[in-house]
Amino acid sequence: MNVRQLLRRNRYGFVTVMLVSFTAFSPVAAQRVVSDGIGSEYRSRGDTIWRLRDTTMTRAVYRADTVVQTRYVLGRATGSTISVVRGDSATTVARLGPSGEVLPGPGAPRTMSAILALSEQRMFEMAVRRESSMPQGFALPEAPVSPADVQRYPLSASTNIIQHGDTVWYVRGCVQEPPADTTTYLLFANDSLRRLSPSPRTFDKYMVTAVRSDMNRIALAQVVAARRPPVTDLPGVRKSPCDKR
Amino acid sequence: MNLRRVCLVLHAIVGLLASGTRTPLVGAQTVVTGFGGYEMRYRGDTIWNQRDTTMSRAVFRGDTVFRSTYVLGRLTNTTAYVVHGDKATVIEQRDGAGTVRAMSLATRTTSAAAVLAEQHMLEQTVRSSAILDLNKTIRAQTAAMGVTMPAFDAPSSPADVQRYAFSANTNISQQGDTVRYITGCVEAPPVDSVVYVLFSNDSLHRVSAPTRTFDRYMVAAVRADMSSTLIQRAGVLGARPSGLPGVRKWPCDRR
Repeated sequence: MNVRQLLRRNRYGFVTVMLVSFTAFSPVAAQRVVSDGIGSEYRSRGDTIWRLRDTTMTRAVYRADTVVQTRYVLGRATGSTISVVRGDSATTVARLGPSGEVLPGPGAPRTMSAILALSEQRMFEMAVRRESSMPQGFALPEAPVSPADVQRYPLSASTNIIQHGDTVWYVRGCVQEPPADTTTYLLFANDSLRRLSPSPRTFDKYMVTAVRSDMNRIALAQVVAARRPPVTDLPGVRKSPCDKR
Repeated sequence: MNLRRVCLVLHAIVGLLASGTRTPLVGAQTVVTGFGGYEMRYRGDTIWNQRDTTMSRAVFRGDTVFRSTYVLGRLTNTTAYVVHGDKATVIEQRDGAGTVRAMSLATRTTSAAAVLAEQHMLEQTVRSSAILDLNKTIRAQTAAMGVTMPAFDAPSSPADVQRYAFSANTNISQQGDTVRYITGCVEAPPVDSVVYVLFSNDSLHRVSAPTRTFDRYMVAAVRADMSSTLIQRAGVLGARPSGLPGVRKWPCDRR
């Protein structure tokens, strides 16, 4: 009996089976999607967690006491680690290359803290808790989407972000401490982002989320810093001349 | 002549005592206590961070950081770094005996955040200690009004057995002044117990072999381990969501 005969005999039953199977195996429909608020998005379905940030995706698959962690950069697998968790410790039993080939190990299995092997699980749990504990309508301070005036965000000791309109510059180093290196991006709302220089390239929404979370984090820190007294006279290294924090 | 010698010795002792009073090393240090059972002290360009038997010391000189680790009062290693913006370069590593260790070029550059951990931790501890002080004041004021706020401090010497699910494989039990750290369980052997006797907040004796007495930093660490489980149990961080992917629960995990 071919497909045409099957359709003729039991058209509605076949359609029903197709619909049910499509619903059951549709990966998008059944996935749970949670944001951690600091630039990463988590997706989970069944025994799998996906973590996406900028150009990197990590997939963790849990089978009983075994975790398979696979890392992807720009959609291409870079390698996997297979670990067995026993209480508070985990043992790496195999490391796989980009095409799934087993990489030569150091000899004896490597033992590490279970926290490392279960990092995606812990972070996903924290993101779920954060989402469920956030009051309805509550929003943290955010960077403007397309500001008319120049906005400055001191991201770290040697990186400052400048935002004007849809253009965002990541400036590393400064005149007082060369070399100064600038990466220029053009944002298309929250959909995508184009790196204008160096090496032009278009990125997807996860890169937009990462860039916006960098700016949002500083915007929030600036609001918090304005409301609490600074802690001074603590020991520390000499401040970098590029450090605008 | 003997009297003259005695006078000279007494004069020297008085001089030493007076010089010690003039530069009180401990008195000039500022001490802040963190919530996780650690204590941070700082003075001039130096930060000391102590928890249980481990002390780390960070000395900041311009853009250079010297970090040393001491275990049970003995120096185990010292590393010197130079910080450039977000990065740091290891310029020298020495072991406990002061011998310079060989370094590979691949491991010489590291994140500045890791090198400046003591500096950031001290800032956070200073800020959180202000909040803890405020919390204590509020607790005292509400207690005076007859309202008891929930406390997350483990009892000092409970008559009944208290159990603390510390991690997937470690459970703590406390009764009276005795605290047991139980690693493993019958379902997942081997089971190993370490028994301590607490002397209030002053010191602690490890009864299990090898027996040893520890100072107040070890007491603070043990008490922090117990208190941290009370916070989790109270659901301060929100209820633990169910139905998430994860590994099969370890049989000793009582959390």
